[in-house]
Amino acid sequence: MRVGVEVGGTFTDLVAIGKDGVRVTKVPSVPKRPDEGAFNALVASELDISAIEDLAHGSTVATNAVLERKGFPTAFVTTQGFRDILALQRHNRNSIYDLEYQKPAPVVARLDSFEVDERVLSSGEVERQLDEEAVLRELVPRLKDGNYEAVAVCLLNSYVNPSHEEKLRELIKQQLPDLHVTLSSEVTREFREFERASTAAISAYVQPVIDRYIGRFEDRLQEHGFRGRFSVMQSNGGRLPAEAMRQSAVTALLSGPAAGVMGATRQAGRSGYKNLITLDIGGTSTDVCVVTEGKPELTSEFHIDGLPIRIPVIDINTVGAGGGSIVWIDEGGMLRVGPHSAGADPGPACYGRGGQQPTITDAHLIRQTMRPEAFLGGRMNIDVEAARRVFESIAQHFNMSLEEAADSAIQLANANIVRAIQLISTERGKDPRDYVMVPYGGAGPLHAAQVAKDLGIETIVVPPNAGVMSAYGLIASNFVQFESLTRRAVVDQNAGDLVRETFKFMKERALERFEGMGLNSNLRLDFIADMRFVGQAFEVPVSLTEDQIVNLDTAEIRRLFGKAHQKIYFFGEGSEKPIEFVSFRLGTTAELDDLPVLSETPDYRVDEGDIELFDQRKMHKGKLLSRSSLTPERTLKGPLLLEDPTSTLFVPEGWDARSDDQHNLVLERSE
Amino acid sequence: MTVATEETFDPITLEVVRNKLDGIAEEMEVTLFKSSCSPLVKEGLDASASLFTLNGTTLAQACAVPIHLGTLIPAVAEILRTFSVEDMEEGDIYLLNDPYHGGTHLPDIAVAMPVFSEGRPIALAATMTHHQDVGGMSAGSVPTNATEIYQEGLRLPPVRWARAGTFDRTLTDLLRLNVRIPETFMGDLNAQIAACKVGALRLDELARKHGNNALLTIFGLLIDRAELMTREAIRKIPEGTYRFVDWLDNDGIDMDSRVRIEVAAEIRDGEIHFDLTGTSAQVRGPINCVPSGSLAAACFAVKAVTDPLIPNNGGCFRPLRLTLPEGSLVNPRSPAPVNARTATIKRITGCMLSALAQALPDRIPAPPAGQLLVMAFGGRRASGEAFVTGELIAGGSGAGEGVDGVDVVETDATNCMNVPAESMEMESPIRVRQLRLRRDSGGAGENRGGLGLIKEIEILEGVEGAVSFSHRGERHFVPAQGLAGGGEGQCAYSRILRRDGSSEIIPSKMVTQLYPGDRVLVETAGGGGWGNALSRERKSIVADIADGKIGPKAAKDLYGHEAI
Repeated sequence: MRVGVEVGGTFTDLVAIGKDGVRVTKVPSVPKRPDEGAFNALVASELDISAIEDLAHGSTVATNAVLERKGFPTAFVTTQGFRDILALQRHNRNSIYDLEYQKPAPVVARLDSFEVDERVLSSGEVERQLDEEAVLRELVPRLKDGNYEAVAVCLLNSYVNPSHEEKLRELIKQQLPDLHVTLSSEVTREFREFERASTAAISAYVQPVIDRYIGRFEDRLQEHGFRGRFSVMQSNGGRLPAEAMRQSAVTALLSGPAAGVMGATRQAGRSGYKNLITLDIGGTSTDVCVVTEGKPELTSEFHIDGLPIRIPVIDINTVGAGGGSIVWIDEGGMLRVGPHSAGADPGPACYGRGGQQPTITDAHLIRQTMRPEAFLGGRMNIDVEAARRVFESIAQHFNMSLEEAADSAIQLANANIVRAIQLISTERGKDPRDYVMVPYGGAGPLHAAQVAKDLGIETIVVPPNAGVMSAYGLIASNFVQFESLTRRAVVDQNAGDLVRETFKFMKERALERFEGMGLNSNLRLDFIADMRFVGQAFEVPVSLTEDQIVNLDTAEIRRLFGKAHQKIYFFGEGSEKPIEFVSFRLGTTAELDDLPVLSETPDYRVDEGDIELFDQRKMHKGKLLSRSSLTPERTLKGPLLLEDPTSTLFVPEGWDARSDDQHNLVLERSE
Repeated sequence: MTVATEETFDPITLEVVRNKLDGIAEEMEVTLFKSSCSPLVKEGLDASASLFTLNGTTLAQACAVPIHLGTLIPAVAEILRTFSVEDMEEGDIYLLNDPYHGGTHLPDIAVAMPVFSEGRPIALAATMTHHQDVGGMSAGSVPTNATEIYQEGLRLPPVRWARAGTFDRTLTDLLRLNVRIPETFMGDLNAQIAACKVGALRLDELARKHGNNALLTIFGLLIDRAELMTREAIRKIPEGTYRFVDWLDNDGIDMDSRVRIEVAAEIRDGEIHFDLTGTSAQVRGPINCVPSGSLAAACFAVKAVTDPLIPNNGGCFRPLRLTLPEGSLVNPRSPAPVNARTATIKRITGCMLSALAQALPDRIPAPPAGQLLVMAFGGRRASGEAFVTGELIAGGSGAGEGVDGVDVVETDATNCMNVPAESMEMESPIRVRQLRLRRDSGGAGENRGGLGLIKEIEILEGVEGAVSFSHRGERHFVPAQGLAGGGEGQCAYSRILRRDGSSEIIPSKMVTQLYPGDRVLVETAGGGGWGNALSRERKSIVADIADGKIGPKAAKDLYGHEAI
């Protein structure tokens, strides 16, 4: 049996897939102790823990440690003269009109930042040798006296020559073997000292947190007779065996959304869909991602609480539009939705927990595109009257009915979501019409059709149990690790050799590492060169196959770069301007032998029948059905509401719905 | 004004179109940033993108840096005055950079393109980028010792660079010949054109969806609404006239004359009037600032004290009025030099905010260092390859009611990122020797002003001849004032330490030459303090001492703190 347990901000989800089918469990999270929520889910699912062969876990523990600055004491060591890198940051502010703007607090304080005497130049040449004696005499005693659990090391220009960082670790480890040491050059080999230092510091900071969390979790699993493989999700869309994760904690940050994207990618992939736009709408936010040829886009521009982390992560765009987004009227008399949210507490007015402002969830109840009985499979008390009450002032302002006001709010929320998708598609040279939409999360399937229509998307694929897609994604994910190396070089006649040598070196290291984790079958390697016109601001990723690399020459490199650049920026193809490599990346993937099959939960039944709902400014007559009652043979016409225990799918007029043989529901435009 | 046409266009359509317009401007801006070449755009985000109606009213603007707010307005107006819309064709490209023809300063080049839908012009897409070099007397085109605009670089009145997609070769050749790094220059211009094309493409899509006429009506309604919202927001500020005076160090020529900026902010009947009467006459050096600068400052101030969520279009500017005396620093006559006007705009913004602080004491903190130190280095490597690199450094922000100032952070009208040491070292034969917080530089107070920064830069071997160096500082002679009894921030202080052991103090602004082994040591200013320093909480003082933000002497002298 394979089990995925995903701890979210509000709920902890569990998906178990075994011989007797699919089991889905949702329990409230325990924010202070995420593992408590995870165990509650295991208990509530009534699974036999000793029968679990594969347990994959995603948790907010690392993310929360950073957000709340509740990690363990961590030190930061850098080159003489640069102690304040973490405090100085990049001088800009994220919110320009906020007159009392505060910078995000670094995870390591100035007091805990130390310098060593050494200097490497941008060429890699050592200008000043590391003063080893001073390290032993001054730094080591301070690290010892500070009772630090972890130390991050980021020396200037270590991305080109990491030898001083490595020597420093050796010296520290000799004296303080229990201290965990993170080297910036090992976490990310990219230039720009603040971003690399920030990545190293956060990485060191969450290391003891993840280490202890995993240790505690494993102990508890073993007490319950667990003997299977235990793995943890990463933000790059792959998982790692728990043991390896204890050495690579930073990749656990914000892994939840990545798990959802992977689940959606795998499940839609079963039906042959490879080019996807995923749409995950939750309580406070919406996450969208572009998946091309079965691979989610990756990015290294990633922030947590305003602090940069330069590791490859799935490129997910988040907007503050969710079920809890507040609907309001601005001073110019226009209707607005978000960015403020009622959050999980008090939540929408209909939760009856004191929410006084209208939200998107309330709007769905008023439109009757969501039934009060559909919340948490009917286990939640919903106050429809409260929802109607808070929408009254909006209806009056625009001289509309409640239904029209609610409908307008949803149209606006959809417009915000469309913007979010355009940011990651059209603004990067991708036409959304070449993609199918895969909605999930509690509210994704409610909004998908309208959003898809606006983007010109003709097909929507809705996975079964779409409300727990992240938990499924955990067990559907491969094992993945990435590494990068900055090696800036102008593309000249030796470019082919440079690429071959660099990737050969990186490949050997990666294979060794996977061998060490016991993952040496079904390996796939992804080679990416980050390139740009000489002097350009940002790099364009150029993907290369192993075959291409064998015969690569300068002309071919120029051609591939030109093509990639043209696609994103509308120019560059055929240009003869000088180009250069900036860095090289290698992704190593151990693919799953077989994919667990997600299906409907057949025992979940609703009272099927005729309903009325309001959409696009008018009342419609439609049908309410259990999702599991659809079959591949039967195509149904919207308006429909299809419920499963985890979400409601709204099929508006103008869309046809059918189930396919992989348990996905496929919606197609019929007009 | 009226919003009576609401029946014709429901509020949802309006909001959806507004959302799209903002999205288009943002997409243009992303294209601009990502495909530009020069570090100023790369790391400094010194560029912006806008959409305009055919009569030159802003429809939407994306700008990461507030100094660009509204700055394309006079440029587009000038282009429209020179070339009528009737005479424009699809694929035309217009250029402009002359400050006395609607520009800002010469490195900022405006590129505009008419947007056509179904053969009819419906709008203009425009971008503004700070170019790394536009010729003139010094590399980087920001000569602090310029006394005439002719020394600052190539001047472009409104010109048509491309007609229906065909470029004017003569102009291209002329442009290339007049700048120091033509590849970078043309690369950045191409990025601007690419951004305009994206804007045109998307706007055409929008027009096809809604219809040309309907879209033009919606534009008008959106602008009216932003005006209404801005007026409502201004009404919430207590009415009255509020004044503030601050000074710039000097104009880079007459080194001992401080330059006065005076602002009277009058709030009356939903309108805001900034009167800069009392400001110094125009100066010989390049810190003169054409009117677009004061407009950007005012836009920033209004947005910051009202509601930044008000849609960013031409309607916001209607309740705003500026009085800028002709022949003064803020409305100079040609050919006064203007390249270093960023410092002036920052100080004008600071004065506007500090004036309004009297009306909104709990919202606006003490004056910040408000300096953006700009250094430029240019020369040749021994290999013969030319390099030009820049550096942007902030000081501390002012403390407010309940909060300390922020150390080393951009404030007011600019929001630049620094240039990473590793980036600078990669691009030029320069080494950064240190980078640290400057102890005791924040103004003392119940809430302490933010600290400045110390940075030391060394010229390495491997350059051919001299490296030209320019330093454009502020707050070297006039500190950031405190508020509510708080102390002043420390002044900035910069020196050149020559290889032979001699040293030269940089009097705020300087253009000189550096040689291998020479070092530049800069210390940026701190922000003003808030409230009486003797009332500062003991635990905050202890924490500051432990953290090295204040020394024991300052703790005793300024905060009356005795170590136990």
